[in-house]
Amino acid sequence: MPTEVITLRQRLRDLDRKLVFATLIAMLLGLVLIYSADHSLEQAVHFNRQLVVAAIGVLLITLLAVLPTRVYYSTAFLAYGFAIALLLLAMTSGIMGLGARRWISIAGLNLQPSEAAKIAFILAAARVLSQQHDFVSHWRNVGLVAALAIVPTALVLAQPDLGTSSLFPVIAAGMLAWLGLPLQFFILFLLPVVSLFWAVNAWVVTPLIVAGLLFLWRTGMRWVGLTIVLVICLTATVAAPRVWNRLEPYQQRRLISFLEPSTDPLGSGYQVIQSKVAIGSGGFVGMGYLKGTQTQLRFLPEQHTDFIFALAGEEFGFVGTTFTLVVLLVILWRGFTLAGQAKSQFAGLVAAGLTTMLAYHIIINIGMAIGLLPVTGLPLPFLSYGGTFLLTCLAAGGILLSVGIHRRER
Amino acid sequence: MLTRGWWHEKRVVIFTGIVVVAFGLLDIRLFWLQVINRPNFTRMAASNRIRIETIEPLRGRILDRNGNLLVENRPSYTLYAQPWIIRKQQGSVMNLAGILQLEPDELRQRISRRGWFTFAPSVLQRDLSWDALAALEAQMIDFPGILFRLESKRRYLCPVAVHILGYIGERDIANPQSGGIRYNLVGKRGLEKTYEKYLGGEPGVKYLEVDANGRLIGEASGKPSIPSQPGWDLYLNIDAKLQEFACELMADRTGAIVAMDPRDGAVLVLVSEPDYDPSLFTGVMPQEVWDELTSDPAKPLLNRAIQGLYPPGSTFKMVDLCAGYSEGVIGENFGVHCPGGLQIGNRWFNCWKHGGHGGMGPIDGLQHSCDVFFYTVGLRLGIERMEKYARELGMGAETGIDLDGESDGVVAGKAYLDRKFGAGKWSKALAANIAIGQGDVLVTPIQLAVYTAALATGDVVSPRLANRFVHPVTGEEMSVEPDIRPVKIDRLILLKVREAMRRVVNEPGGTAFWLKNPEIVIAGKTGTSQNPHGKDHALFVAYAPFDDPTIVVAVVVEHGEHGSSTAAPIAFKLIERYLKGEVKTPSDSALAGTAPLETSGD
Repeated sequence: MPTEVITLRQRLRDLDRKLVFATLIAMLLGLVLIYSADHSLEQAVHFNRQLVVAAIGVLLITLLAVLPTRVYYSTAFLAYGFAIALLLLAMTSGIMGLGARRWISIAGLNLQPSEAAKIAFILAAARVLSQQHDFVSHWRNVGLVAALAIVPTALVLAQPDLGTSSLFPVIAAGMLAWLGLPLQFFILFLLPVVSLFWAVNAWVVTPLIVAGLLFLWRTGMRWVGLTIVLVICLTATVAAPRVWNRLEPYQQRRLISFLEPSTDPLGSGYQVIQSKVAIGSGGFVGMGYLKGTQTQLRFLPEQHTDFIFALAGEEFGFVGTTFTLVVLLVILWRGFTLAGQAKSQFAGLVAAGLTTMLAYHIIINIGMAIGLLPVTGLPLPFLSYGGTFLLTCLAAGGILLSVGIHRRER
Repeated sequence: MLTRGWWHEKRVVIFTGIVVVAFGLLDIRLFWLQVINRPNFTRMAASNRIRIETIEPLRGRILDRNGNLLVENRPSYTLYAQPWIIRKQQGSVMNLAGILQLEPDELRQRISRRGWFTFAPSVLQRDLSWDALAALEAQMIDFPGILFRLESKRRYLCPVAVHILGYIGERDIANPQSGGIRYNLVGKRGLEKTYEKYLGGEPGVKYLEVDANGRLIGEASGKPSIPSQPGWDLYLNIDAKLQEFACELMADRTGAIVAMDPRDGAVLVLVSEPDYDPSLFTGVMPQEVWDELTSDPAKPLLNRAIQGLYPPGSTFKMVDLCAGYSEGVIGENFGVHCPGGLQIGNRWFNCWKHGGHGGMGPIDGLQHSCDVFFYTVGLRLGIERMEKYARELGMGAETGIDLDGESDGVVAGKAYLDRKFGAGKWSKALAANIAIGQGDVLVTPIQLAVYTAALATGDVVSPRLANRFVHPVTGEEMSVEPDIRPVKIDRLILLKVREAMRRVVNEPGGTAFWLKNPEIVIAGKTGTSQNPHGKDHALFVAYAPFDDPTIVVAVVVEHGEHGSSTAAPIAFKLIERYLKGEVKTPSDSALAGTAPLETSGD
């Protein structure tokens, strides 16, 4: 029928081609790098698996792009509940891998429920945030999102997966900011966290707390509120060293090496050193494909997963790393742009949340590979090996495309 | 909720802007890593993957003066372990311990000599037995991080020269000077140690590329190996045949023999008995064997020729003559009457000949070794003047022989006695005792040889075992130059002393006259050094031929009682063998009864 044809044509016109291309290029780049990592072991196991997942992912991305926004809206809570159930299942009957229960096995496939939880959380949070019409309360928004975030955060933290668990508060903050939550709320929640580090460096933390309190005064908070905030901050200040001293030495070591890898030169410190050596020795144009010595002689750890960016750095040099950054930047730029264009508040929040998730992953992962940020084990979207993770990223891409295609709908 | 319109307008730009700034920082950091700091990381990458492996040089051989081989090399297999790799395979350590028949703890200790976090191989066992080699070869796959190397091992062909040659052992890794990459064997004792610099050669270097597991990929491209340089062959002044003969002469006695060319200090023979089996030191020595060697009361590890300290006894009396003449104590008609002893203060000092020698001048005093004569000379000289001449003739200081661990001996002087007894609290009568080489005078056999050579030639020489080095490839030669210093004693005085020494052997009444050889004129001096712990030690020093000396010999036989009867025959036979190629001197046992007791008792 003619109307149908026109609609389809219009829809195709609304398909964000830049996002499609950038996503495909990033995924292909990942495959190229995974092939190189496999090459060092004279195998192609990971490459072949990733290729299959990529093929499935292309189908998934198409399917999700076509689905209208209302489908996401109506299934948001269902998806959230399902994801929490899977996380609980992983807790009780998960497969141990690298010292953490992260995987569950369904029909012979090993899945990481924390990946699905990210998207489910974004959908559910977008739904609760977009439900208000007349009565608007920042506190209510913050409370609802916090309630949704705390369950997956706690479950993932218990796995334990510090890196991924930190993702939920960050996404929540991103979505609330997208909605226009005033700055004082962020300051209010950051002040106690900053106070935890008072014992580490009082000279930096004290002025920060004072500046925060002054800012809160300017935005209208008065004596009662400020006193409560101050009491909470002081409690954190006093409690942090006591809790620290109660920790077992191995727990202390783990936390220290998380924040300061160089204190653990045989563990995560070793990884960061080797990663920096790989990236640095790549130089401007790189050692050449399949010719990086750090990669091919396997000095670079986790080279097909967490440190795949270092592989790119060694074999393709500064040119390669900058190109990768540009491709990923295009994805994020399109993500935020689509979020801004969406007529539906729910769709905009979903797009902003998904893009924040991708941005956080990318910055943390690359920051880790170049020794700027702690080693968290967050993989690099679209590039790192990992079936569930790639599908999650492609799903995010598919939903972003869907938001774009349906952006004229309310 | 969307009250703030401007935020709604700007939020895409702000979110994208934050990401752009973050990416910009990442890219700046990448530029710093990959463009500005690249050389550092390239170096680190190279040190990751390139292992520097030492190519062990072939150690120089050691030959005697006639080109007879004393030490050579033979191939042997050494087993190494790379701690970093084996660290993760504690199971294979147990397995390996079984094959090598070692305690697992001992094996772990050997693996981790440099710690566990290194790829640098540590030696597990040298000179693997064929059984162990075969067992390991078959199971190689179960032992990652285990390597064999074909290396050379020392073979000592002249066991009687063990005290000279020494042995080699693992380089001391505690010594930072030794460097991290050399894990070879070095000289630990004897000539192997003294001339390590020449014998050891220069190790070569191979650059190997390895993967993160330390598995060998091959030689690193662009880094050519540096071949090792073999050590120089060392030719000694030692005459191996004569050395063997000297050992036979010592039989199972304890003591030392030194024979030397007095003209340049070339050491012909250097024997110390008892000795030990040099092959004990070529492998890994079990603790029991080491304990046995070190606790043996006969002290087989002690090189008596350079480390044994003995009172020189009457062999010291030439010092008295030199000093006496030079200082004017012995004048033209100086003579002493020997009634068989001398009263000094409230003590009676015996002459060895209790009946007395009667009137004695300096020449016949030495010939008969009259103690009373030398008591008198010693008392008139005083301790300090005797010390001066003893030192001038090479006593009281290391001779500088090219072996480690030489003792410097003792020559009593004022400072020494003040330290020992307290300032001024010692009796002047000590000079009488020192004059006959007893008490606070201790010498090594090598010092006796140097001393005798100095009397015979007028020069103090530094004894030299090494003659020259020959490069095994180029044939280039480096000779070891003699070190000679003239003695500050008038030549005429030395002539008188030599004449006295000639008479000891060649004139009736001389303490070694019974051994007189009709064909060779030998000059010498007998000595008996009192030993508070047992029978006296027998000493004899000699040089020959009298007119133009080419050999000096010093013999010390512990508990040999009389120099004339025990030590002198050994020296005579050695001189005969050296100068004539055959021995006519009757053996001491065959002539035991012939040695006239009244002349051998000094």
